Amino acid sequence: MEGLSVWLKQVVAVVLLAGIVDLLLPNRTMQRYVRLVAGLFILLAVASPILRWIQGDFSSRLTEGLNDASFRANTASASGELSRIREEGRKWQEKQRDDAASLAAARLEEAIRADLAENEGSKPAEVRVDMGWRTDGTLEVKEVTVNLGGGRDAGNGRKAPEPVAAVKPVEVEPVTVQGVGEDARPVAAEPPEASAAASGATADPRTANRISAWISARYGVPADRVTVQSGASGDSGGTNGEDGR
Amino acid sequence: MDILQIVGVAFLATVLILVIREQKPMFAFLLAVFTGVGIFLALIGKIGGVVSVLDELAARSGIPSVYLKTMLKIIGIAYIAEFGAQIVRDAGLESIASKIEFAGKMLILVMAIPIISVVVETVLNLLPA
Repeated sequence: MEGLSVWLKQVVAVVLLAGIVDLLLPNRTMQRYVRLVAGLFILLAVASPILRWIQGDFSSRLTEGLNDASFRANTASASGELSRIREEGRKWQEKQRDDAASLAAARLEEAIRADLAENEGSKPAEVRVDMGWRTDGTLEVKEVTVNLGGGRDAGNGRKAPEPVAAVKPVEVEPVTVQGVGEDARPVAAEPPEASAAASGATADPRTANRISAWISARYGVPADRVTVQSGASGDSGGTNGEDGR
Repeated sequence: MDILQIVGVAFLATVLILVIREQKPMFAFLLAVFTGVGIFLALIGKIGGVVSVLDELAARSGIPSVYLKTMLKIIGIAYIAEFGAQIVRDAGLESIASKIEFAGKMLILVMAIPIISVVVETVLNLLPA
């Protein structure tokens, strides 16, 4: 009885469906063809108990055949479509990673700038943090560039004596060295090479040393990746070129 | 209210096409094409509603979903072939329009082939060898 009611429901639903399809048709030229297909479906629905009795699993074969018939034309383009979607997904992922790295870099820049302003008493002109992804998918700081220059060093290239005046804020340093000293001790051995690298960038070696040690102690960035400059923006442009992400 | 908008757009397009046709038949044709496409796109949402109701009906009555899918594909083929044929016919190329209709009919018949093969196999199995 259960099977009978299921069968009856199916037949009624298929007939209804065929009626709706017939109604939806745009014009008379297609009507005969669509009626043929709809009639076959109704026949199939009516005869499904017999079909199931004679050849066990006809519906799966029918499904396979119908999918085959309608998708055969699409298979070639489907694989192309899939690879296109994959490619797009990869691009989005990369963009997201880049966004995350730049956001983290911006936050870190802000924090370093605020901390430097607090500790050194003078706000650095520019703090640049380059971040990159390691191969294992973690984010690392590739380079930190601190430019102590300030606005008055903008004309550095033209007026040579001016930077001497810019050293003035450096005189404050002995005061802060005692405060920062305990923090900086663990990495204090490394800074000399950092300052050697940075000395080309016209920063005062002691200041550079101190700042890079302080940054490495506070943020866990290896001291040799910290560059301290006191020049104009032309120097920072040079280090920016090494940015390899 | 949708029908008023659609009829209004259609009237407007018709008047414009009648005016333009004398000067530039090419643009009149393009305007006709875009009007048709625009009306079709405006109705796609409603078609989605009808399809979802049919889907629910099929799911509740337990008919195999492949029946419904095939039926919907047939309707889609019929409509697309009809639209294309009408546009081409508007441009005055009756022969190409009939080819489009022929292609639509053939694709609909291809859909029927698996069903026919199952029925025929059953009938052959019914008969004693």
